[in-house]
Amino acid sequence: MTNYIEVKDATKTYQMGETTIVANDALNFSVKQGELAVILGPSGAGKSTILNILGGMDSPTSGQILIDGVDIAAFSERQLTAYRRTDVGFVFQFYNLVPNLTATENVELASAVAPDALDPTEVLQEVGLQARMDNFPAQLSGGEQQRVAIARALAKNPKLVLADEPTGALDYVTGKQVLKLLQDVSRKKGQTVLIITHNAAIAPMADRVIQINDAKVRRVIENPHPQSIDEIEW
Amino acid sequence: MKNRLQFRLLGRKIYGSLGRFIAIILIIMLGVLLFVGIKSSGPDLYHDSTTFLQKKRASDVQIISSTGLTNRDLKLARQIKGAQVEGSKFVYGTSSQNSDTIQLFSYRQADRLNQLELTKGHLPRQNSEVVLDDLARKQGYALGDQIKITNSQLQRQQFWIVGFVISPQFVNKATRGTTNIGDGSVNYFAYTNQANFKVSAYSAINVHFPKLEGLNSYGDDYQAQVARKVTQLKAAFAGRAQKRDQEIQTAALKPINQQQAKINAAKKQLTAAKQQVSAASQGQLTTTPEIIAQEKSLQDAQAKIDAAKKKMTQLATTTFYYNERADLPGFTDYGNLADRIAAIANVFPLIFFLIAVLITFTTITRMVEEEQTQIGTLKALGYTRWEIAQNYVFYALLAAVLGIIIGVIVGTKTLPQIVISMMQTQYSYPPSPIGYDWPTIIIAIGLALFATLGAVVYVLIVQLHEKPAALMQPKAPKAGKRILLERFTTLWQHLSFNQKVSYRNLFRFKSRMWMGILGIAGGTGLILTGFGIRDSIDYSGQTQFK
Ligand SMILES: Nc1ncnc2c1ncn2[C@@H]1O[C@H](COP(=O)(O)OP(=O)(O)O)[C@@H](O)[C@H]1O
Ligand SMILES: [Mg+2]
Repeated sequence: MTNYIEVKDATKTYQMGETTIVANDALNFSVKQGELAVILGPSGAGKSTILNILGGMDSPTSGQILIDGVDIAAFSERQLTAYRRTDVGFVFQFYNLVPNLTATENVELASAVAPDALDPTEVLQEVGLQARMDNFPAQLSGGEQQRVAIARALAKNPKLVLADEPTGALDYVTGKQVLKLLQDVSRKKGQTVLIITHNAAIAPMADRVIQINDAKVRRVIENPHPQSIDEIEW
Repeated sequence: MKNRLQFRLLGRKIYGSLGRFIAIILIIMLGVLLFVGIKSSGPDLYHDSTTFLQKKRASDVQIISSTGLTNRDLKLARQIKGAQVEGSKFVYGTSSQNSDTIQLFSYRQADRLNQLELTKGHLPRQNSEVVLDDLARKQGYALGDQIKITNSQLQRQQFWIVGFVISPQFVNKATRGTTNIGDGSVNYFAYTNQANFKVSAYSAINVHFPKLEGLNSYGDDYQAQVARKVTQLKAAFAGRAQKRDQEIQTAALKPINQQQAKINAAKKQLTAAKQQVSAASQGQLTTTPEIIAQEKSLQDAQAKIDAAKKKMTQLATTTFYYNERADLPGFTDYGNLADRIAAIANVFPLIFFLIAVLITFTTITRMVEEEQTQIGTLKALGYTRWEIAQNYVFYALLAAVLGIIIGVIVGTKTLPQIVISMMQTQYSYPPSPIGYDWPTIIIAIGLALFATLGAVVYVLIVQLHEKPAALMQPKAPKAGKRILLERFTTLWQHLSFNQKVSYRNLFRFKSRMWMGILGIAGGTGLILTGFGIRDSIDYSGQTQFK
C-alpha cells in the first residue's frame, strides 16, 4: 500500500502580536491509502491545526503536505478550493450545518459541487436518518446533526475523510454510533479516514495512531489488528 | 441543483429575517424617494412653464412703440427668419366695479399668438362680449355680469362677461403690471373684439419663434437665443423711427395744410375784394370794416396753424422697445423659485440619502459578518468565492431594486405634485410633469446600489480572503481596552457599572460609535435645515414689506 498522506516537516505558527505560537512543530507522519488513522492528543496539542491543513482549509507556515504525491502546501487559492471540493470530506467538531437548509439540503450542498457525488437520500439512509431528512438542524439532536455532517462529508464520495473530534459533544452511545459509521467508511469503501480525538480509549479501532503532544508528533503506532468499535468499551 | 439550493437559501434568509429585509428596502426607498422627488421638482416646474408657453405660443419678444405700430412695422418684423408676427391693441380703462384698473386687449379669432386658456365660459363672439382675467372671478365678477370699461378710444364701454381666461402673458397671479391711470397698478386684464378699438395703430407687435418653443424660458440657452433675435429685430427696425416720425408728421400736416390752403384761398378772395372795393370807390376806399374783420380772423387762423405745425414737428419722436418674456410682470420670479427648489434639492435629500446609505451599509455588513461561520463552511465544502458571494449579492440586489423601484415611482408621483400645487397658488402654469427624471434616477440607483451591493462586496472581499479555518473559528470577542477616562480615577470611581461598560463599549466598537454620531448629526442637521429654511422664508417676507 502506498502512502496516501505524507506530512514532511509541517510547521504552523500563529503570530499574536509580539508572541509567536507554534501550533505544529515540524510534524512528520504518513497514512496509507484506505487506512483509518486516529490523531490522539490533549487539548491544545495542535491536532485541529494539522487536520485543517490536511483538509486544504489552511496552509502550513513551512513544510510539505503530500496528498497522493502532490504537495498541497504549494497550492494556490484556486487549487485549494478544487481540492476541498472534490477530494476532501470534512466532519467538523461543531457540525457546522447551514441552519436554513434541511438535512437533505445540507447534504445536497456538498454533493452539488462534487463530481463523483453520491445520492444524498441514500447517504442519509446509510447514516440512519431516513426519518429526519426534511428536518432543519434546529429540529435535530446533537447526534443527528453530527450524522448529517458525516453524511454531508460522505456524499461527495471523497478520497479522504477528515473528522475533528466527531464525538466531542456527544454522549457515549451516540458517539459510538458515529465512530462506527466512520469505521465502516474506511473498511467498506476503502476511503482514507482521519479522526481526531483526545480519548485514548478509542485508539484500538485505528490502523494507525498518531500521538501529538505540545505541537510535536510523539509516537506513531501501527496496529495490524484493529478492533471493531463495537468491541471497545470506555 | 446548486442554483436551486442557492435560491432556497436566499428565500429562507429573506423570510427568516423579513424585518431586516423590509427595513433595508424601506430605507433605500425613502432615500430614493426624497432624492428623486425633490430633485425632479425643479425640472418639473420648468417643464410646466415650457409646456404652457409652447401650447399657447407665447410671444418671445413684444415690440412696443411710443407712437404706435402699423402694418409697415409688422412687415419689418416678418423679415426675421422663422418669426411669427401679430399686432395687438390694448388700452387701460377703469371698470365700473370697484373702479378696478383693467388692461383691455384686442381679440381676433384668427390670432395665433398669446392664446388664451379658458377656465370658464367662452371666448368673445360679439362686440358686446368680453372675457376677463381668471383672477377677477374670485373677486366678485361673474359670468353674465355687465361690466363698464371707460376709455375714450373704445367704440363701446358696456360689455357682457362671457368667460374667464388665463393668459401666457400674465403667469404670476400676484401682479398684472403697471400703468399711469388709477393707483398705478393694473388689477385685471380683459379681451374684447378688435372691432371695438377706435385707433388703427397697434399697441404692440407680438413676435414668436417656433424654433425656440422647446427651450426653457428661464434657461440661459433660451435667453441667449432671444437676445440674438432681438439684435436682428433691432437691425430690421434701423431707421424706422425717423420714417415713422415723418409718416406721423405728414399725416398730421395733411389737415393743417388743407386749412392753410383754405386760408390762402380766403386771403386771395380778400385781396380780390379789396381791389374791387378800390376800383368801385375809384381809389377812395382801400378797405371796408367788413374786410378788416375778415382779415383779422384770417390772421388768427394762420397763427393757430403755425402753432399746430410747430407742435407737430416737436411731438412726434418714435422710440421702439423690445420686451422679452423676462420683462413680463412677475415672469422671472417663477424661475427664481424653481432655482431655489433645485438648490435645496442638491443638499437636503442628499444628506438624507447619505444617512440611508450609511444605515444600509451597516445593516448589510453586520448581516454578512453574522454569517461568517456559514461562509467558512461553504468555503470548506469547496465553494468558490463567487458561488458564496452570489447569495449575498442577490439579497442586496433584490432589496436595492425593490427599494429603488418603489422610491422612484412614489417619489416621482408625489413630491413634485406637492411642490407644483404649492406653486399653483401663485402661478398660472397648469401642471404637466415630465415623468421620470432619468439623470437623477441614475444617480439615485448608483447610490442605492453602492449602499447595498457595495457593502456586500466590501465585507465579502474581506471575508472571502480568509482561510476557511479562520472563518470557522468562533470569533474572539473584540478586546476591551482601558479608556482615557479611567485615568481620572476619582471620576471613574463615581460612575456606575453600566456607565463604565457603556463608555468602554463606545470606544471598543468605533465603527458603531461613528455610525451613531453621523446618524444623529445628519438627523439633527436635517431638522435644523428645515427650521432654518422656514425661518428665512418668513423673515425675508417680513423685511421685504417693512
Ligand atoms: N487562529 C489561531 N490563532 C492563534 N492561535 C491559534 C489559532 N488556532 C490555533 N491556535 C493555537 O494553536 C494551538 C493548537 O491549537 P489546535 O490545533 O486547535 O489544538 P487542538 O485541536 O489540538 O486542541 C493552541 O495553542 C491554539 O491556541
Ligand atoms: Mg481541536
